[in-house]
Amino acid sequence: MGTAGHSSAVPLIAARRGTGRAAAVLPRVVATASLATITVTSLHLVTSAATYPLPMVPARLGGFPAWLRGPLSGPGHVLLEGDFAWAMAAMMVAYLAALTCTAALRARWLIGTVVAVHLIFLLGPPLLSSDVFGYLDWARMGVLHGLDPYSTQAASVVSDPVYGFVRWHTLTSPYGPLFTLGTYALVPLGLAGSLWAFKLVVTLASLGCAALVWSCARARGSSARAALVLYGLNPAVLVYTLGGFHNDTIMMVMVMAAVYLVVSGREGGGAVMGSLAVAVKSSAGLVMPFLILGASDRRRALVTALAAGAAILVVALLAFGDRAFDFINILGTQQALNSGSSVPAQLGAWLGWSGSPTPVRVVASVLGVGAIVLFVMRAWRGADWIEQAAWATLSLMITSSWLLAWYIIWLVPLAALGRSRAIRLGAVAMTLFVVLVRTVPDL
Amino acid sequence: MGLRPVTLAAALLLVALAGCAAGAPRASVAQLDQDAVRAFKRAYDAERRMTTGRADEELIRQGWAMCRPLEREPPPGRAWRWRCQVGYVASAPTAWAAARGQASYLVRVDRRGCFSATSTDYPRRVYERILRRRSSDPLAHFVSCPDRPAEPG
Repeated sequence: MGTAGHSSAVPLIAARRGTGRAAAVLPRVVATASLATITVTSLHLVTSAATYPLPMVPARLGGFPAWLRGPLSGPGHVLLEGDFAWAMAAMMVAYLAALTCTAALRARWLIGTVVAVHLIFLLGPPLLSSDVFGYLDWARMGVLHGLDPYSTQAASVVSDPVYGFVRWHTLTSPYGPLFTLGTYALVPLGLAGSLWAFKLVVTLASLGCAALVWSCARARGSSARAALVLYGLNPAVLVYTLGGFHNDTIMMVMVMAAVYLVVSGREGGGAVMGSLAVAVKSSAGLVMPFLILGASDRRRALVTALAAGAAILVVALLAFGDRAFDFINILGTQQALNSGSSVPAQLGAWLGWSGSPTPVRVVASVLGVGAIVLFVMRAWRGADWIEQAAWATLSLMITSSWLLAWYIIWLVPLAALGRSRAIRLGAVAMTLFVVLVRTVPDL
Repeated sequence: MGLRPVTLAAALLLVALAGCAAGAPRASVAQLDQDAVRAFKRAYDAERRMTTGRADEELIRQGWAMCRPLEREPPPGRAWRWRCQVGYVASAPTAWAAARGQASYLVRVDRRGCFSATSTDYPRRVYERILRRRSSDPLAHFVSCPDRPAEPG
């Protein structure tokens, strides 16, 4: 009996061990496959875009020189209609798989993948937007032609080599004076040199965001790996924001640096850094109240932020005159615009309106402002200020009538630091929304 | 030991890249007519903006082009020369181009379908209002790429 009992027990334990091993191996396989899928799909998108003049490189209408295509030109397949949507779908599925199996991811592999994918996008042409040429156009206007970016429309200098690549033709610069002055420094490098320098800055800024998300999560006692997966593998961040080399990345690395400084107790530095982020793009202003409310000495943080803001305004006034102050109202200006990819416009497809008509826009604005005030009040009363900042950002994105896919970077790094699962799910849902809105017609 | 998986992944990527590189074809020129008209329309708007300072867009109401090759398709490394005759009807003239007219372009198409177009029907340089100096006329020379992806032929 004893022997029989013993002999029957051995395989049972062995079977349990086997099941346990399989249960441990499967998440690791899924997690590793998700990293491989995101890397290979990114490489596929970038090499395709670098090889053929595809619609996913809007700047191609100004020509497709080697310095625009980048070194990955050559080994690419033609991305036929619909292929882009399927590639995004594959990245999204891999992203969701990585989020589900985060615990099984090796930190070194995860960090290696995030860095590798950033390098891939750095080496490719600007994807799905030619905004980067708009930045360079205003910089060249200011430095080479003595024209003020805050009072001169984009693409005004037709003879400039950047003209053919610019797709904005009637805007004056909506960006902050710090950003504008920073782009001025790139002009001596020439058009190709300044494009590559800007691409490098944006790539480093995004990697900086990833590093700060990791550090902040550790400092707050959350899972750094989970936070890095949410930001560093996010398909919308990678393809639209990083791939398009948008200045929102530079703004966000400064916002995250401010968050890190406040989290680590250097609140004065956080307030100054937050003000500098606003001087890059005023959309960062949404996070400022939360940065101040997150400080242990709120009054001191507020005074420091106001002093830094005043210093920036003086610099802006000296450099550009009072027209430079228009950048402060960018969120208000954008609410007057209309993008078909915004949530109110998409709701219209179900509820029977087209775009964002005035009544819809007014209701959305009231709801958005109300929600932001609510989250500020909650932070005031002691709720987790980073999470409230993420909720406020999500509210803005849902209610704004002007939503572009690359604005996802405003939300994801903050949501990655949230303590609740709800805000992470909110960030994933918004990612899914911006990806679907831009790609479903092609599926 | 830790490097092994990374090395394997890098090797796989390189093999995939090498495999893809084998099949890079010359792009089709089937849509050159339409691409040339679109690029001409943008050049017309550009000349108008350059000479008048007005940022009007899509001034050309109707445009058409007929393109024919001037030679047999050369090897992939060389541009393929075409002649395109472009006609248009615009809602406003530029400082140099009438509101309706025709122009002949020598077009060089690369293997990706991107092209440069040069015409002697327009002056090489015109007055650029914002800079108060003469600059190259966008209608005399422009470059562009296909609006649609070129499929491997």
